[in-house]
This record gives sequence, structure tokens and C-alpha cells, in this order.
Amino acid sequence: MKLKYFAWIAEIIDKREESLEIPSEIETIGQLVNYLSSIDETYKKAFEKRKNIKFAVNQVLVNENELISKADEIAFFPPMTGG
Amino acid sequence: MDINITKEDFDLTKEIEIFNQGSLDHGAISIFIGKVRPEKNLQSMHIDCYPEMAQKKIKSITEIARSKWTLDNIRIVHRYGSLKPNDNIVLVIIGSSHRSDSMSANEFIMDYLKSSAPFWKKEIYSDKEIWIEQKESDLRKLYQWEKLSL
Repeated sequence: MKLKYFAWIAEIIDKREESLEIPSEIETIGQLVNYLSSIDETYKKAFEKRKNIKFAVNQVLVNENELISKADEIAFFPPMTGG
Repeated sequence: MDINITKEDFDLTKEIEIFNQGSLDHGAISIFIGKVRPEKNLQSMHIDCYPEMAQKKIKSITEIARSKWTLDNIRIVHRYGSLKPNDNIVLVIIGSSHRSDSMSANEFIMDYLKSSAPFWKKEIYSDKEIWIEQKESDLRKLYQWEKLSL
């Protein structure tokens, strides 16, 4: 699964993107966040302020209950501040 | 419609030339330029971006604008990367038959770019770096637009 990180989340994780093998029982974004937080303290720290994090699947904004699959591009970022 | 997500600066004269290469079926053009505000001691602004999603999101924002107002050409340039105080950040050019359409659509597009397009600003000062947080007042503007369309 391709994962992308932006803004302060990328700074904490110290990566812009990576490809990870995710266990097949992980079906939603929320479960993915819990899984990542459980395998490494860095992810745990990045995802600590959960309500300040937004998610996109294949470049479309979704909520934590969105179903995900291995071929998806998942992005994690804070609320947007463009313009 | 033309969307350019870029690290490069833009030149307004050239941008209007490009804009005018499209349809000229308008009696009004509304132009908005957003710049890096020269806050005290601000050295630079870093803008992070998810370019593929930004393209899709800005396209959908312009499609909503087109459903609300009668618009001709739209050209949007949004920069990312490292910018200095007073540098250009964003350009929105909209043509319409009558000025109220392009002016309202410009306001609408900017409100949505601010809070729903995937860009993130970080202010860099000599002694600190601050990721700008989304403002409640900006979200209220989106709420107002949604209320208007009910």
C-alpha cells in the first residue's frame, strides 16, 4: 500500500511517502492508523492528535471508516491552509 | 479551464495573455492575487502541497462555481515550495458576461481553496517555524456558501 504524508505529519514521520505491506485484516483508514501507531513510536506520535488529521484515498478526502485496499494511495495530512 | 500547480512565480501580463487565448466571450474579468503577507520578522513561507489531489480538488471547486454562476474562462495558478514575503501565492482569473458572476465566483473559489485544497503553509522566522492552522472563520465562510445553496 502506498502511503503519503504531508506538512507536520511528514516532518514527524520523516518521510514523504513509503510503500508498506499491510496485514489483510486492516480494512479501514481508522484501523490503518491504529495499526501504524502500534508498530512504531514515530507513527504513534504523528497520529496522536487524531482529530487534527485528515485522510485521502486516491486523492479523494474520506473519513476514518473508509474501506481501503492494497492498490490504494493513502494520504495523511492536517486541515488544509491553501489560498 | 486551466489549473497550474507550480513552484514557479507567475507574471500577470503573461497569465492574462494565456487566459485570453481561450474564449473571449466575456464582458468582465475578475482577477485575484494572493501574496505572502510580510509579517514582522517573517523570513520565508514554505507551502507543502499534494499536487495530484490539488488538481482534482480545484477542478471540482471550479465545477461547483460554474453550476452557481454563468462563467467563461477560468485560470488558476497556485504556487508551493519556498516563498519570500510579498511573493505571489495564488492567482484566480475568471471571465464572465457580467461582473457580478466573476466577482462572486472568485470569492467562492478563494474561500474553498483556502480550506479544502491540499496546501499547507509554514511560516519561517529566525527563531521558530509555525505550521499555520486552519481558522474557524475560514470554515464559517464555507458554511455560509453551503447555507446559500440550500
